[in-house]
Amino acid sequence: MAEIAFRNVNKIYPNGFQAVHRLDLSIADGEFLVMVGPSGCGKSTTLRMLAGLETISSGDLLIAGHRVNDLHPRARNIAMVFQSYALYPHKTVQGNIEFPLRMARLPAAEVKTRALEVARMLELEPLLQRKPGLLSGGQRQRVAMARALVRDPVAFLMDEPLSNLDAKLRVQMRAEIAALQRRTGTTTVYVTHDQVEAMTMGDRVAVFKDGLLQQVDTPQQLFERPVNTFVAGFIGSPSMNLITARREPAGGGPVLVVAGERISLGKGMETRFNLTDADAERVVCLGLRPEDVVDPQLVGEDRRLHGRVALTELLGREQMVYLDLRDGTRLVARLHADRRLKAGEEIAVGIDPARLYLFQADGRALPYRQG
Amino acid sequence: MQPQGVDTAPGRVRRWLDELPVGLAPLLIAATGLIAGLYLLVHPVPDQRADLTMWVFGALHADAYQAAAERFVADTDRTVDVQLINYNAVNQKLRSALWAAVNVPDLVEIEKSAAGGFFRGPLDKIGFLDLKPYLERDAILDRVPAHALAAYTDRGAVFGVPHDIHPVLLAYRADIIDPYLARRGLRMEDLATWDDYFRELRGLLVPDERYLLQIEYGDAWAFQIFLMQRGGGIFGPDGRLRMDDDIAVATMTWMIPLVADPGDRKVAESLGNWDPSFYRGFIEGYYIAALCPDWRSSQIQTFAKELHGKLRVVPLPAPVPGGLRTSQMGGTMLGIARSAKDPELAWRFARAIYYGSPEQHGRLFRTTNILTPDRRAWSDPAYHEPRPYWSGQALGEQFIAVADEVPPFYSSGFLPSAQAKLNEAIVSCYSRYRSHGADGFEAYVRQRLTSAADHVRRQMAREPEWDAEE
Amino acid sequence: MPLRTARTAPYLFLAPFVLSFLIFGAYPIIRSVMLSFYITSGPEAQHFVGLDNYLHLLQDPDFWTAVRNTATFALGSVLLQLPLSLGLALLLNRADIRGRNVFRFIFFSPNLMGLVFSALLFMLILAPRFGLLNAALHALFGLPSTTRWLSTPSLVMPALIMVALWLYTGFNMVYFLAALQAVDGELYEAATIDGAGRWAQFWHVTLPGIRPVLIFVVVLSTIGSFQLFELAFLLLGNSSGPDQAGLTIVMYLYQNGFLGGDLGYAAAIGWTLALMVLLLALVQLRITGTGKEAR
Repeated sequence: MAEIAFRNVNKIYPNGFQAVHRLDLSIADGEFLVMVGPSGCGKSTTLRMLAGLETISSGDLLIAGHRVNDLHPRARNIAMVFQSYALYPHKTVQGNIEFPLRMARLPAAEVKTRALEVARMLELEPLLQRKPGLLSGGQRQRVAMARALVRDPVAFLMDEPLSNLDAKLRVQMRAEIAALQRRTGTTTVYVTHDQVEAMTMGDRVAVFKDGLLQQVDTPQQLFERPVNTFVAGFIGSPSMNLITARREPAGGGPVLVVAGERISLGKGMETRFNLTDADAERVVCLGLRPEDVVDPQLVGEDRRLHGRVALTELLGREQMVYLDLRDGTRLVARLHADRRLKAGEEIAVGIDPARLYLFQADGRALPYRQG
Repeated sequence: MQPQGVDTAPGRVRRWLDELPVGLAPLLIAATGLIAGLYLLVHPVPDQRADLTMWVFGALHADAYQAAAERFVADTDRTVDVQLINYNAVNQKLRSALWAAVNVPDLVEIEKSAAGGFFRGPLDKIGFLDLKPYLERDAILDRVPAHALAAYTDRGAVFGVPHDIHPVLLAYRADIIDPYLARRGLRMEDLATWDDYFRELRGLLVPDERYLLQIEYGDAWAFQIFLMQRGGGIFGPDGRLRMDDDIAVATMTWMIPLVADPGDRKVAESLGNWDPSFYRGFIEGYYIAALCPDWRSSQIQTFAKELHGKLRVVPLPAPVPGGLRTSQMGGTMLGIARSAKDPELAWRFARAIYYGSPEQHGRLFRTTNILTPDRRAWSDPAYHEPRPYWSGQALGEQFIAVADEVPPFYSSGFLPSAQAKLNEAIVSCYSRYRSHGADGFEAYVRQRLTSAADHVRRQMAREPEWDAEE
Repeated sequence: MPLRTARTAPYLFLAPFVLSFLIFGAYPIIRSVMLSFYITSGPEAQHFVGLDNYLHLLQDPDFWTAVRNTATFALGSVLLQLPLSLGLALLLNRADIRGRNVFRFIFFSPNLMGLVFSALLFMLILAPRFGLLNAALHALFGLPSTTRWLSTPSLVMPALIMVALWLYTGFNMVYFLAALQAVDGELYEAATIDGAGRWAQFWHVTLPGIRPVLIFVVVLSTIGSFQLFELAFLLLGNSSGPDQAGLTIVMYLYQNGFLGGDLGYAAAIGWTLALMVLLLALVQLRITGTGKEAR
């Protein structure tokens, strides 16, 4: 059993900078957890604390129920794949893969068989006698993975392993890593700054910002129910539109004033929020994903926003349209490419209240309706 | 596209400049150099060099000669540039100068052990002038002890005149030895042989704390002194190598046990010859006597101030009753370059500094304790002054007393090689005696010296017949 | 400027250097080769002997003594110095050393003092009975203080190696420090996770990482050791030491050429030394596989 648990873990550097604040995170055995966030958010530090490359200032780190704060990396039986692979440049591919086993003082025959097995699994057989300097980026990445795999560890740690690859290779390797993890069933903790990777690979995704864990949930939940504006804006590509809004006191149901226009949320219309009058007071920000914009003809006049086209980007069947709303706010909408729009043209977009996100002053989202 | 105004004068100049092979800047530099060179050709800088150049490696000599140079200018209206050059450098500089035939000094002082190296080659090509005609002409030969010239004579030609004689005396701790001898009714002068010396002073020996004589056995310095005292030498007058003859064997067989005997039979020790340890040892009484050529006495005065008034010198005890009571060590010669522009002028200056007034030599003696070979100078009072450092002895008189008996030293170009081999042999003999004692020692010494000498002889055999070549 | 003269311009600019190199570099080298075929005692006193100089020196026991001494010095120097300088560099490379620059300067500074000063210093330190070393050994270990370091044949080479150690360890240390700092830190982290202890990390990460510099330092040290002259010359007082124990190849050259006056023979010795060192360097490079790397 290889559950991993962070309990109130903090990391403070000698110069006083705190990289990780009060981290509470549990990772189940066999789970693929992705830690994501912008640069400097503490995800790599957390990973390194798990590996034992960084000391833990306070709090407990447990692996399989044992407190491992002071345990040497070697004894934790975890394997790590580094961003720049950290392959031993003077050893062959075979030597690299065999290295951890040799350090564990396993008998030579076993070392060789296990290494070959892993090499075969990752299609590295023809490259076994080459030195890392003569391999392509993707090949090196696979060697790094092989070196980690061969140990049969309790957990894989991966620190942005795909960052150095070109886009096409990255897509391919994403699938391979995910497949590999499913096959081996080993707990994997994966760090990336790319939210697409996070969404496609992880069983669960942990979003970090400035050393604080924002939300840890399945990709689906992160997408549908972000807990704050940061997560909402971080997950999903292109980013969600976050527009200042306020509630206008009126009868007949909740009304929001957005960019100088009034949007009626409607009584009886389903929104994902239980919107009482009291809640509505707190709303200061509206979230709308570009792809959630609807055809204005399908909604009433009281649910339309008007704006002037600033820029369009053709994406094939669809187009990204950058609109300047009445008060100057920028709105990004993903529309069908049928209708050719020109800069300066005035158009309207429709709002479906069921697709709206509402945020309050401190950035937190309004509580979601259960179900 | 033609630049505007190409046919006007500036345009033509610009175009011409563009056509220059290497561009403007290098041409300007070249032109400047050319003009400067032409100017110097027409108005050369006057030659500042002195009429005579002299190289000297001893600082005290340099000072003395500088004074003489100033008098020389006053007398002859010709200038002398006395240059002080480091002892180790002067030989190399001279050799380079002779090879390149550039900047050869008119006069140069060379140390005795290095001199031989300059006497190799065809007689008429040697870099020094044969000074015999000058010595004969100016009747200097009778003023100088004949043995002093031996080291600088090769195949009959005298390539250098000696600066010194360097007789060797024994410097000893009068404050320790004299009272001890007096209690037994003896005086230091009574110890006429080495056997007497070691026998009578045995009572003063304290193993590991006090030895009777400083004898360095890491090199051949002391050995050579004893060797020459017995009438031996490394080379003979005919350039023959004799460092393995019977005298050498006897000297070695006698000397080694003095330092290598075990326990309280060992009477001599050394802490080195040249570094501060030598003086320290003397001061602390680690040894109570040392072999003292005249130049060494001034070094002892300088570096062992604590021994002021405690030392005296006496002639060396002889190897056998009636034997030689002095020896020889070191020497400097003055040579005149064959390529000197005005040999006569150079000789004149040489005479001024080497065979000048007695008073001049006396002054030199006061500062360096070095005895000049010029007999006429020995009458100067400086040589007869009592010296407080030396317990009131008239140091000069002591050296003069033995000056005529100093054995001759014969040079050779192979002297450095022979000395190196001799050093080796001494160390070997020392080790042999330490491990095997006196058993078969003499045979070993003979065999060892012979093999060392044969090594040098093999080298000498390669020497071509310079004077037979054309 | 016109194209044809633009082509000659580079040659004209190179000309001054090439000219001075030919005159002051190439010509003396060629001339010394020619000189080695003569017995000489002056520019006008040269006697052609062909290869006899070389033959004689190969049969001269003194030459082989010199080779033995020099090789001992080179071996001792390299074998002692390198681990020491590497060790110091490893110590200084630790991130938690404070005042690293100060230490680096201290260890490097003997090099700045110059050979002559250092030799004079060590003459005092090594003096029998009153010297610093003997006094320390006597005080700490009760060893006799009359050890004559520079006058006992078996101690001369160890003394020389000791002085060379003091002089040059810091120099090599600086090279190694630079090389160590160029090794990727992530490799150490990967090795730690892979289960490598300190020694395994040194062997598998550090050494291969500094290999080019290591080879460079070894070859350079060897070449330099073979040219030992000034240190022995100064410490032994213009001589080759007791029993020729301090005779090095260059000292042998000096004695024959500059004291004995035969520059032709000296040239032969010099060329023999050059060939020996060249051979040695080639062998070393071959063994370490340098030059065959695909990189």
